[in-house]
Amino acid sequence: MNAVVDVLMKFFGGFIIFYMSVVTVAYTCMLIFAFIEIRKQYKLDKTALDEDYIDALYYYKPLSIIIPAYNEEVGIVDSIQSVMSLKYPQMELIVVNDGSEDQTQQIVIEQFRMKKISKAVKQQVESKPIIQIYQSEIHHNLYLIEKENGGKADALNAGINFAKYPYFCSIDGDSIMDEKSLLRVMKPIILSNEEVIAAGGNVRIANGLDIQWGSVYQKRLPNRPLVLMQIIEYTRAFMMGRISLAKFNLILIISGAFSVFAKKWVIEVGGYSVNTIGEDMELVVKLHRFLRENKIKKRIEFVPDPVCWTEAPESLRVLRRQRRRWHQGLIESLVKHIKMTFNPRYGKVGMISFPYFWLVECFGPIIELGGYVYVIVAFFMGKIYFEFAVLLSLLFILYGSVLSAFSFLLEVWSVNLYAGTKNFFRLLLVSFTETFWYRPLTLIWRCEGFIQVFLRRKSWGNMKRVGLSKNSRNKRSKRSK
Amino acid sequence: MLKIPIEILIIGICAISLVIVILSMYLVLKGARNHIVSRKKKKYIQNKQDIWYRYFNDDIPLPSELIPNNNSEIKAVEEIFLAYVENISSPIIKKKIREFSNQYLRRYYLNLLLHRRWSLRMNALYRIVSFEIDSLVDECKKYAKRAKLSSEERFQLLIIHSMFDEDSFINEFVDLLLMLSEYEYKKLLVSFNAEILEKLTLQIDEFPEEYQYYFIDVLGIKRNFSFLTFLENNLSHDNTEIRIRSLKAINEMGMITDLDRYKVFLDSPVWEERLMLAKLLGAFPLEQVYPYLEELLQDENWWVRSQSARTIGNSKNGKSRLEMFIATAQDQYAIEMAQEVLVRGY
Repeated sequence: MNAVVDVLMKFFGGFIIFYMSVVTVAYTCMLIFAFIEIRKQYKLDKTALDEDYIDALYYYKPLSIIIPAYNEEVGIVDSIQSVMSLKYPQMELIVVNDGSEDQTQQIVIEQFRMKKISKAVKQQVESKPIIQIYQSEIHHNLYLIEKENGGKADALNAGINFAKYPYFCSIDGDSIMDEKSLLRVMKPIILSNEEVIAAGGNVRIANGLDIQWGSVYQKRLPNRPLVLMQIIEYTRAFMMGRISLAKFNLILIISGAFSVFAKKWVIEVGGYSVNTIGEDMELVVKLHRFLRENKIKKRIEFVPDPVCWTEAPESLRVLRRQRRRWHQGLIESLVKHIKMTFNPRYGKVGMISFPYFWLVECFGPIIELGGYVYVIVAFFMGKIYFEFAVLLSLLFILYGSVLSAFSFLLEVWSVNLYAGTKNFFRLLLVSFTETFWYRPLTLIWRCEGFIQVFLRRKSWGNMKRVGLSKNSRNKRSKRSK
Repeated sequence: MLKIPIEILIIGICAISLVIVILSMYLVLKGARNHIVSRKKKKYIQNKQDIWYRYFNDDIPLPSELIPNNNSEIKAVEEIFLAYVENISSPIIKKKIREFSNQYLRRYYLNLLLHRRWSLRMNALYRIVSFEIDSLVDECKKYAKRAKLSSEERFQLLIIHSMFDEDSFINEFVDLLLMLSEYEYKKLLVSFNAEILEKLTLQIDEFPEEYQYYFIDVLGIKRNFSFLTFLENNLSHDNTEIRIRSLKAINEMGMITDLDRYKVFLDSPVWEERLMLAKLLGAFPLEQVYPYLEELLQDENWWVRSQSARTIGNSKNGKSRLEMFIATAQDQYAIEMAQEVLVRGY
């Protein structure tokens, strides 16, 4: 019996150590790469680039913005107004009322003097029937589509069918835009002669910032360690993932909160997939797949400038739900396109991105959590596995805390959003604690998501709209007053 | 067996911690230094902005106290200049900025231009354009000959040479023009003055088709009537796209002199040309062009019908003309289109 336990402990210990070492080395490489990339831009005067915006009218492609709305009576007017105040030469705003049961529609109709219009809409991607279309008398480029309820993806599809411009941008109701976000996100598309067919922006955490009409007025660090930790986490994800993956056209996730797509290609792949949790990731994967299968040389790009601010969950309960949902969405897309994994036909996406997402993003949490359990068990079992446990603990600290700290330092060096020595040390300190509380928590939640996928829990349906919760809306409208 | 790796790891983590501590100290010190620089900069701007205002707006010689003594003051001057350049277009102020920059900022930007760091060189290239520092043009010429140029550098250098080097620009840089993306190419053309554009019209036939299209688009954007003849000559071009784009550019200018030149498009087999004609006719009094518009209102193409209904509706007395048309016409499609314009009002 003891011999079996011994073999098992040694095997798992060795396996987890091997995994952690590989991942740590990979992340370190990505961090170094990010450093090299950022160093190129270091001290570059961005205002010179912003001068472009003055005569942007001549070169920018017109853009349709789609806001899906379901029971959003509290914040919909706010959302529409904030989009209308964005700087962009030519755009239309399409609000899709996805069969709301509250006053969403009436409020929009009254506030913006919407009038019924008759317009034939070509069904280019699948969506539930449209009941009525309205156009605002105040802003001629503001439309409201009333349709049968079909979920967020379905609403976005209806918006795509209606959109008249070659590019569209989906915006989550509860994120806050920088006034130049549209210009910045469109920039890679324009500059690449339209070789870039989708672009997402860098999303940052808005808690503690005073943002009005798309400009940041006051930067204060939020007090809750949970939010501070998420600031570090977003920085880390940016420095050690997005920059490198985007550079090599390997990116599988661009933020759903704010991304621009070329309509033509999205229609080619059938639009957003209805009945999936992570419709954003699903769309990006479908695009990659389509491009590879048809040997089309196009790219999906990531814009490092902060363009969109989102409110991070402040309570463990909400954060847990968010993470579970993210993980479910991730697994769903990976499973759906499993044949791309290690398939040379799909190039780098199949040979690098997919294996990476399977191993690190999907199964990683289970292995890591196993590692935590292993460390605890090993300490209790006394001397024999003590060394394994110490080695593993040190690796955890290296992987969690130290790498996070480095990402944070890189952020301070390049952007330094929260200036001031006190803020600096607070965030640095928090980043060191990652391994000891935040990391295990998120690991547990992600494993829960994993389990839920396999139990096929039916609770998916009512999780559809976490991002558009009224709660955060209320907070937001309070803050902007 | 595991003893060695653990020790190595512990030493490693200690070393890494030390690195983090050192980096933190460096960042804190750097933050403090930046803070001092920006305070100095602010102070200079606060103290001197009124004097700058007076120097720019009155006819006085340059007060010597405005000459910057150190880098933070230069940065302050830079900020003041940028604010003026971006927001005010007065030739006198521009000239004063140019003269001052050429005399007192030249050395600073020359150093940046020769810097190892790409971003700083880029900043210098941007400023040379903003402040029109023509004394650095020769340096920029040398720069343009470097073996490795990023696309941003190449683009900015093209702008600089088109600004200060008009005569030789076309001969020397046409090849580079064709390496630009649509966005860069259009952006550059928009910045060109009429003389360079004029020279380009003589060569444009040799450009690849797309670049000819973009060129015509830009002429529309610039709305310079001296190119009307060039565009009108294009109307008999063999390439349909060139004809359509030229019509579009002429429409942007909003002025036609010779109606007869355009009448041929009434019977054009290409609907886009008939559509553009329906748009262009809006520049004439309705009385003069109504017969053509009525013909287009009964066109087989939806877009052409829609446009001519709108052109009529937007003209003086257009609404009553549409009502008359509805009362007398036979063509059901055309009647519906006229009705829609009457209901919507545009």
